[in-house]
Amino acid sequence: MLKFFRKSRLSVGLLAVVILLIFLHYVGILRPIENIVVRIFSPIQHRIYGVGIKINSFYTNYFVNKDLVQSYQDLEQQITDLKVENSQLKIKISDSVELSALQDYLASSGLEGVTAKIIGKNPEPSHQSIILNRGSSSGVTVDSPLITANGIMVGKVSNVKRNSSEAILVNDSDSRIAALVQNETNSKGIVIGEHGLSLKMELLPQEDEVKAGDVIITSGLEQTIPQGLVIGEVNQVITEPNSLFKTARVKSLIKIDNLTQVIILTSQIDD
Amino acid sequence: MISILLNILLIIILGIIQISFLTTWLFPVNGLNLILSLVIFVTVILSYQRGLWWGLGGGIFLELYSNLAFGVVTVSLMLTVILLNLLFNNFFTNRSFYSLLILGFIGTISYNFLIVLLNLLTIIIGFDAISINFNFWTYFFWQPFLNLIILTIIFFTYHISTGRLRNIFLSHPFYEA
Repeated sequence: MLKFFRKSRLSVGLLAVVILLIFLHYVGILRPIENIVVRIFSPIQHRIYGVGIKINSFYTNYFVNKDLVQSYQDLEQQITDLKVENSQLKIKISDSVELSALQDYLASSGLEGVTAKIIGKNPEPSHQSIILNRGSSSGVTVDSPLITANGIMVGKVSNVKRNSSEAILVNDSDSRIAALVQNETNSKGIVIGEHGLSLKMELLPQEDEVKAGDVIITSGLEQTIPQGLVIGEVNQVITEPNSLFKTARVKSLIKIDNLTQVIILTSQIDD
Repeated sequence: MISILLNILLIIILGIIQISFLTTWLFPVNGLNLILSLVIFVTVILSYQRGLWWGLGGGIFLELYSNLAFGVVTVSLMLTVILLNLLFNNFFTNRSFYSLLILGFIGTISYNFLIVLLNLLTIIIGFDAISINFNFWTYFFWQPFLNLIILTIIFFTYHISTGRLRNIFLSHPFYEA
């Protein structure tokens, strides 16, 4: 009990002191003391305030810069995304243009065919064959020729499934195409692929005049391949003195490896 | 005597830190009331009497830089100490960490409530007083939580440095036997 009173006395006493101080403050007696105290501590406070401002500005700058770095990284990511999107759009435009050209060629040539996208390549590098997204359901048959938008023959279908097919390119070693040289005698022969790298035309009669630059087209002797599809042009003629035939090195007019879409001719036009 | 001087020095240092350092920080850290936290800590953990003296000393120092009518801060601090003492004596069993947190929360809210009340009183009496705006209420919300953090830091710092406060968690005679 005594302790309680002592505690209460203290609190009451201190509150009384506060009231006295308030009175002295408003009377003005305390003002000089207050001013002295403020003046004494103001230099220290100024320094501490400066330190506080520096720390705070450092903290703020750090986070602002952090935000900027984040924004920069976000923008870089956006640029990357846009580049990818742009690239994909370019591919789509390119595909669309290519497809349109293929369809135009089909319409103008009177040939029947379907446009097909190349969806893959034979995993074995020794074979130059491609996988197409069209199959028997689209009218594709074995030995159907593959041509580009400008009518250049690039291969032949070798295997057909319902919704896809496999085709060997003209530069594959297994490729054989009946062809003729557009010269005075329309020299006939067979265009053969050479290890996926180049073409050659064999079985050219020795007496026929074949020169570099002559265009080689399909002869039409094969049932599924119409006449007049361009295969390439003669690059070099090799003549063996004791041989019955001569051979011509053939240069394809396009880069076969860069194809993405082709036309598969589904039927031959009857003359 | 030395102890009194040390306490005064500590009050001044903390007051300067609160006025010149913490106020430069961003919201809500600038709303931290270091003096109030110390007054609550001293009252709950050390002693009521020391709490009162700290309330008086800290209050007077803060009055020098306060926009409120002279005496509002000091009276609020001291009434908070009295209230905490009443609560502690009637509802709490020991000076544990939990008691400190709960009383710290109540003390901070009470202090701000008293500030509002006394500020209104000074307006009624006819003194120039500052208006309580939206910012005040924002800090009113934040300050209890911030002060709890400070109280936790002070409690553990004191515990580590002095080793006096062993009962961080509530103890029971059954387990001690």
